[in-house]
Amino acid sequence: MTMPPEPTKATAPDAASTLPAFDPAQLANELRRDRVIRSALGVAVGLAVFALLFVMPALYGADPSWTLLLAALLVLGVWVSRAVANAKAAGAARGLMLAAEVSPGNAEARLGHWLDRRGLIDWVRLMLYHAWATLRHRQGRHAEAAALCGSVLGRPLGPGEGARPQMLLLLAESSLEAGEPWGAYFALTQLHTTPLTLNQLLQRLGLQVRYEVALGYDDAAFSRWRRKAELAELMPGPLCGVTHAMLGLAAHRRGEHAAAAWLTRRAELLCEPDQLTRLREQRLAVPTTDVSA
Amino acid sequence: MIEPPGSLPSPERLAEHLEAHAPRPVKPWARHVPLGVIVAAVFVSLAVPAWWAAALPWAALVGVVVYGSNRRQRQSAASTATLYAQELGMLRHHRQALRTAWEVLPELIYRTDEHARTVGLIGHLLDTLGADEAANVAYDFLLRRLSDGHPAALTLRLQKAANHFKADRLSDGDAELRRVRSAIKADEPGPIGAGYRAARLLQSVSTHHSAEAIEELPEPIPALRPLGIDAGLAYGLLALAHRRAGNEDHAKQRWRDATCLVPAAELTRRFAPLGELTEAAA
Repeated sequence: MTMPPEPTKATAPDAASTLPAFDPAQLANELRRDRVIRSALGVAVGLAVFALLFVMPALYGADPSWTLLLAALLVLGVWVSRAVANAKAAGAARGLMLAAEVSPGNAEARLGHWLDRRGLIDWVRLMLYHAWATLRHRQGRHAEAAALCGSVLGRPLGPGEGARPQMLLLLAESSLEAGEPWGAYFALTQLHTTPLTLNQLLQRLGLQVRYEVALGYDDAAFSRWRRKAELAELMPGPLCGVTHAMLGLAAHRRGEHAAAAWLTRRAELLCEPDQLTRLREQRLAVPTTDVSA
Repeated sequence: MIEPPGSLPSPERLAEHLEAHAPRPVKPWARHVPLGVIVAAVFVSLAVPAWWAAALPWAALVGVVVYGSNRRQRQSAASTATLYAQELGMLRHHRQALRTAWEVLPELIYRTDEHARTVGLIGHLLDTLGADEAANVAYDFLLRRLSDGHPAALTLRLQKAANHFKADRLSDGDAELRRVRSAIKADEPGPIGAGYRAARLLQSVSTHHSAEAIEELPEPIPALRPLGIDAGLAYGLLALAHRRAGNEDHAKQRWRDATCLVPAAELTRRFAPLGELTEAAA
């Protein structure tokens, strides 16, 4: 399996941020600490059960049926409390991803609270980091979001494996925004071997067209352009417009002027003018002068 | 059990299906039942000095785990089927999507959000397939459960208004528009504002008030852009208004915009009077 790009330490957080800048070593340390705590708890429970089943009846003549019941209650209590704590943290991670879209400041404060929890199982902590990456992406701190995704994707996600496609999409978009195309290449390669929902497939299409246009692979971007435009129609309005603008640029650079004019006119009808201006500044849409020509 | 429709369901049949499988919110105490079962088993175990009583908490635990696992599997299967129906709808396999959504609805009665989304999908699919009255039954079912100012309620009312205008039930359409008028400003941004302007445009064109239609949209592209590809129909309507008002150049420009987004045949299928523009362009 190809490894994700090596995550780098993110730049210093802004003043409003309550969480520190992400450091890849931090996740490894937290996972190690969680494992130590879980192991210590397991050993403590094991010793207590041993004492209840063998030491108490032998030394104090305790009734074995009572000590058996107490041992069962101890195991049950610890198991249920840990399961509830992990389920709550996993649920919070899901909620935080939605909250990050609505109120990033509030989501960041809540995320800090959940990240401080100790003894979580690995995949639950990784889901909290996924929420952290989503938050940073929403805040426009794309290099940090890409570093977070890279760190999480390099580990098995267990029951959270269903989140892998979303994280790969996040990595691809954050890498492109941060000007790190190798991260986007890794994510797009992985996305081609991962089962996706239709919405995820459409997101991948948009990101792949952007990657190809940004790196000048116009032939690849323009290939099967009618089919791509049809699929782009299923995207939400702004993303649909952006994809048309980028396909238009690929067509323009290949000298396919009729297709370029049609795609660019569609982009103008679908994109907000400032969105189109930004794309032109990033050299991802046909320049205004060339459109009028 | 109501069988899924081989052909499009009648409004009565859809109403019957929706009422038979109406959402039933889960009671707050229900989520604590598994823990209650385990606690009860522990108490019995403490109170009764018998071998079977000692094993009872373990049996309760295994039972709760097995039940929870089965429930999760059923929920997961229903979510997958719901997603499948939505994807079929997006890919314009409308009848297959309708059948899947119809079949999965009984599995969603305890999941109110997914249930509402699926009923909305059924309404949208019926709408697309031309079964306007049945679509309105689905929209009414949702509207009864939403407050008047809820964004989803506004969208549904706009959709209902559009259906009424397309079916030439002008007074019903006007009544729906009146109900949302107070909640939507004339220059409201976003899809709801654009949806309202498109519904007003449809009303003006349906009632042959071409000048009014043109006057209300001096800058049509920014006003209708939030509709995305669906703005094509609105540009087509505006082209028709310009043509009826004798502004041929403007009519041609708007028709070019309309057909740039949606093929002419599809525009005519959605609103038959646009056929005259297709003929004029040919």
